[in-house]
Amino acid sequence: MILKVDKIYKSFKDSNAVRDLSFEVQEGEILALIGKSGAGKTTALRCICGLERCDRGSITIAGEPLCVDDGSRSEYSSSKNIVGIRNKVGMVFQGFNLFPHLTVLENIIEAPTRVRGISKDIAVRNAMDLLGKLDLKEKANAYPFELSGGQKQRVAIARACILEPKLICFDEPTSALDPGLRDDIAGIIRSLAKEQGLTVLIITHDMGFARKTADEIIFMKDGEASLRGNTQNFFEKNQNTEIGKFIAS
Amino acid sequence: MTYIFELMPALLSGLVVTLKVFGWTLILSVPLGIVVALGRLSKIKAIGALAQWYIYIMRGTPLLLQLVFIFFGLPTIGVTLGRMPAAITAFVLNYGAYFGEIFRGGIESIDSGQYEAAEMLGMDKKQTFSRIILPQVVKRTLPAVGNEVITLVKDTALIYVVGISELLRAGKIAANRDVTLLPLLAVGVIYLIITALMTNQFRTLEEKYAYYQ
Repeated sequence: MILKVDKIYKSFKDSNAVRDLSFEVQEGEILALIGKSGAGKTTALRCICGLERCDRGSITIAGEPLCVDDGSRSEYSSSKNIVGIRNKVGMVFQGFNLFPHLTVLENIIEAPTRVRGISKDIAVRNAMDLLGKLDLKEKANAYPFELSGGQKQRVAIARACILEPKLICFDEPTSALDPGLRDDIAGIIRSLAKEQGLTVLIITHDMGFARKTADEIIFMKDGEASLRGNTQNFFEKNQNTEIGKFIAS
Repeated sequence: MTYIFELMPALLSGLVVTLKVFGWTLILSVPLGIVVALGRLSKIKAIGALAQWYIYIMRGTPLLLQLVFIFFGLPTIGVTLGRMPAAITAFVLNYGAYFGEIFRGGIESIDSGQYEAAEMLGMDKKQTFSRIILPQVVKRTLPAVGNEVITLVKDTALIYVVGISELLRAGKIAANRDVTLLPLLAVGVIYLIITALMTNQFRTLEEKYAYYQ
């Protein structure tokens, strides 16, 4: 089990963004959290990645606790431990967040060389390898502003993957792309999981994309997980329910 | 014009002083500006408040007044600085505040996504700031910094108040002595030449940073 989320709660000022959310993701699985805007999907993702701190609940990544509920609040691990745990998680942001002043190649090798201390030669070789798989080799020396949305996203994926995370998170991967590119990214994500053995967590309000990409779906509403199922059954079974209407819309 | 030729030694030695103040102020006030900006943005309330007050006072009073205070006023509490050290101290403290605000604005204008991406990649605060944030801040603040640098060239004339003779004073002395405005015209031209050089430098720098958007 790569990710275990146990009864997490997170609220901002006066609204509950995430309430009593629990789920598990097994190695190599692709899980999609779907739901309307404001359902709490992004907050949940940010808690899992450590960008936000939960108020209550526990999160365990690859067997190590990021935070543990002690009865009154989420107790977080020491900073040092957190760094080690977060190293196992990669994130592909909705806006990609590439570093604009660095080339594609420099964006990718920045963390391996500066954070992990890997030699530049090895890092460059791995980076070019990844770029090759993502069909971006000739853009290695381009700057992010010269790339299209789809290309930027692939750079963001490479930048996360070069650190060999156990879990890779995607925040609304299709929102910044042309509809035609959805298939491409679905294919990339599936290959990451099935060929590289990565575990993938996707946040999306794009039903078609979730259907195409995920093994399992969790439907979130008002901060809670209201339904979970295997993709196939999920969409077939829920046609007449509220969820079904949301999906169909 | 042989007259202008005769003036040159005096004007040029004034120019050397001008450039000295200019150079030392830049070298010291830019790093100070970065420190002030970080202080202003600090999560520790006391540091943030200190930085805000510092900026308020240094920007809210005339540089001329600050020069007078530091050179004539500090000895009353036992701190006596020579003319040049006093002048440079005042300039550095003053310009440090202006640069502080410029860099603070620049840092705040960087999208939080940059910080989050760096965090997810495992970078610590120091790495994030030096490798990701600062380079982008440099590019963004270049025009404003260029402005301050050009203002500084001309502000150097204020050091007359602590009894140091620089370019403008040399010109004034010659103008009074020879009863002609010509020396001041020459001084004006020299300032223009320096400003043109600075403007050009900054344009080159901005072009250099235009390699990305």
